[in-house]
Amino acid sequence: MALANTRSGPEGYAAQNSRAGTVSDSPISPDWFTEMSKVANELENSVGERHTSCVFAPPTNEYFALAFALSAVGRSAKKAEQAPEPGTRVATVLSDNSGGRFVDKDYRLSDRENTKISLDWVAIESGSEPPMVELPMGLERLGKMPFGDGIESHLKNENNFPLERDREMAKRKERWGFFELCKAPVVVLASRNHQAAERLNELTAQDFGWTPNQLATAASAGTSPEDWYRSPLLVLSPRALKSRAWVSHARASVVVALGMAPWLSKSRWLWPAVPHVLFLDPRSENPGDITEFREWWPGRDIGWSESKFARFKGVPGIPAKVFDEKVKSVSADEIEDLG
Amino acid sequence: MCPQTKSKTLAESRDLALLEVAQNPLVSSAELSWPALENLVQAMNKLQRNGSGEISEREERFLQQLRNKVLWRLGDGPIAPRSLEVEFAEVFRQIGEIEEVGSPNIKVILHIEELARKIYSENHPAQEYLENWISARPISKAQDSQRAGSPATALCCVDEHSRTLTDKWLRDENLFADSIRYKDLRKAEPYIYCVLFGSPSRYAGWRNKKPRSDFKTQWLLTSPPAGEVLILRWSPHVAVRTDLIGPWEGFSFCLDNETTVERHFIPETIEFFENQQRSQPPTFGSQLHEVSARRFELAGPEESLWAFFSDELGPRPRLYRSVDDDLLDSRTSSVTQGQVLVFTSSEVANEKLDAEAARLWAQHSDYGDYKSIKGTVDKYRGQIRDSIIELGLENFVRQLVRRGLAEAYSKGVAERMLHLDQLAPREFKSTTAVCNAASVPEAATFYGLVTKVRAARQQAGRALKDQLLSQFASETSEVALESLATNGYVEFEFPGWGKIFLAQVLETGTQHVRVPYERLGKLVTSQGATWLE
Repeated sequence: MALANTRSGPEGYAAQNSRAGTVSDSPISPDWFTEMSKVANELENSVGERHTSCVFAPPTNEYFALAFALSAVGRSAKKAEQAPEPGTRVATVLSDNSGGRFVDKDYRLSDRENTKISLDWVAIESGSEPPMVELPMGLERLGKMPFGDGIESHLKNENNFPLERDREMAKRKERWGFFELCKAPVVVLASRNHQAAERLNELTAQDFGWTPNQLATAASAGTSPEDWYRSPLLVLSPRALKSRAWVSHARASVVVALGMAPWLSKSRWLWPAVPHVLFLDPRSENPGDITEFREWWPGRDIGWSESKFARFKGVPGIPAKVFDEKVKSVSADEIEDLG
Repeated sequence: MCPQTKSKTLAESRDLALLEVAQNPLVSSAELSWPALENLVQAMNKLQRNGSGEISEREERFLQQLRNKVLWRLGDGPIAPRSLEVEFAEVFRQIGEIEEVGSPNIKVILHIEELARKIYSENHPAQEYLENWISARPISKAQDSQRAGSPATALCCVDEHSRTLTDKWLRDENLFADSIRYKDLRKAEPYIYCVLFGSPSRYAGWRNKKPRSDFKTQWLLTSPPAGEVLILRWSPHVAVRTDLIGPWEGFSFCLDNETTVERHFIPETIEFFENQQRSQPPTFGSQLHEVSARRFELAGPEESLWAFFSDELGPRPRLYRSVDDDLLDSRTSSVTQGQVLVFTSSEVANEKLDAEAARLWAQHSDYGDYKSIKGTVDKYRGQIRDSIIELGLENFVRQLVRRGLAEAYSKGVAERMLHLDQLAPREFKSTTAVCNAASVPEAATFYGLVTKVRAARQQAGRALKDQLLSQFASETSEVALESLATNGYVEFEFPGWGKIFLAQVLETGTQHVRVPYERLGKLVTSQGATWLE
């Protein structure tokens, strides 16, 4: 089954991009990837005190966790965004002849009727407003950064548009679509985050039916909290979150923990509203993920979920379970001590 | 932002290869019986639990030495007890000390000593079992995988010392398999077959207690390092706890129910022994191609017959086991008095092997005509043999050593190639060394052809063994087989096979004797003439 058909289409620009077509007309997604994509896109956000979690035990964890993370790109677009408050600093994306770039600007309403907006006092023509998101409290500035070839090469499909003007508009909308995904990135917590992120290229070399957005995500994945709003996927070390209180105000779409070390750290509870997904590495040692997971489980206030995913038993070779936990929170003091 | 790295292709992805293996793991187990070791463990437990009064510190140390240095090592692979000479010597020295100072437990301790000495003189049952098991694995699977050309089977030991001893044994027996440490297996590319010695928990190390050790090593079964995993157990290995297998409680894991219990052959009583007319062993004048061999005296129709088997060269002794109606190609050193050897006409057997191999070849491959490819292989082998004759065996061995092969191994390889005893070494590196030393070009081509021909011949060998066994199952054969117990021999005439002769071993020669190579594996009269040809 084609990957694009297995997932609920994200809304807005991201959806347009997603529907713009997969890399190949008939991608060959292996069954395990198709099933994993279903879970990635349909895991429910937390309701009330109960928090949705999921555990996978593939033969190795880096490769499969990143496959899951890439297939989860697009979850964020499902949730309607609130417009930023006038007078705040926003992250957004601008385009010119040299390509797209990530920027942060002061957001204001500029005319007397308060209908037109301005970014750093530059008025934006009505109907041409780029997507934007308020910088979380405590994050002053991000600076600017070009999209670069890694993203642009996957996004542009101007050949579909014969007129130059239309081509420019198409490119701009693709960049906007990509930025929509960056607003609430998939967060992967990994002790060796750089090593894990390097493996993304290995994945996209396989014809799993990747969308242009997923390919652009793999090429631009961030490895630092300061890469927030610049990639739909961040592969972070739990230690890097220490003393960055603003991250708890930044939205994530799902948290993926590579092994028990990040799972047991408080970092994942910075985002209690979104599902947490644990990837165990059965081959890990001292004492090993399986040992730690089996010892962590008893006595917890958790149970196997009765949601529709309770039926998901994993595919052969990748056992999986969905369960729920009691929601926890992380205090400002605890953020200081993370890692 | 993450740096760009060189992309890997699907075929290069170890993760996907491991997933493929994990999607349909085939895990089976086999239990070997080693009566002396089982008795030893019982006696040690008896001493530990029910010794007369307190166990002295000295006795405790002796038990620890025996348990940790000897029994543990013998449980970590097909390790010959004789290779643990130093460890056994220390055990016997400690027993001597206990005897000197005296002990209320001396009776049990002397019994333990007796059993330990018995074990020291015995072969490890896993050696014989694995020789057959490794040889019986279909090579076709390996040829289709990324492991083509390298060993498809891994024997997993806990530590480096066991691995070295296991590796030496594999080389001595010319078995195409890897020995690998547990910690290296974790990171290795998946094999086609893997043998674990005892329950996976044994690999967790002595510091890990249950159930932690089961949790830690359960990947050996749930996400295994090979498509087929065999858990080979013998005393004092413990059974696998399937309830502790899996990433979480309630994970359903099923060990293959077809658990084989492989019992060591127990010699049958030889009632005919006294009635048998004994004969003098044959002697052979000095011959050009003499080899060292063990001599076996066998029951025969008029007087006893003789058979010679080398430890390294020529055909292997084929045993008929009445307990389970099976044929087993045994190691020469494992054949004991009372066992039954099977002989067929070697000419007929070779013809049948070629015909069956050609038939299988035509059915399962598109490599071309078997006979012409076998002919090409034989041409290469002939060139290598001629070169060995021309250079002289010793010079040729030196050439192989110069090309990086171990001296003892080189000697075995050179002898086997001289007598056309094997198609070629199983490892590519060794075949290349042989071809280079013999100035035979196109080693890679030769190796490629040999691998295919070998696979066909091995499969043909198994098919012929099954055909032969089915002949034994006929009613007339069953009646005839009954006379084996009283006469010590039986002769059949099977359609297509000609004469088949089964004979019990009356005596095994302890000394090695020199015999012409062409007499190996054949029935020989006391006058030195071949019988049954």
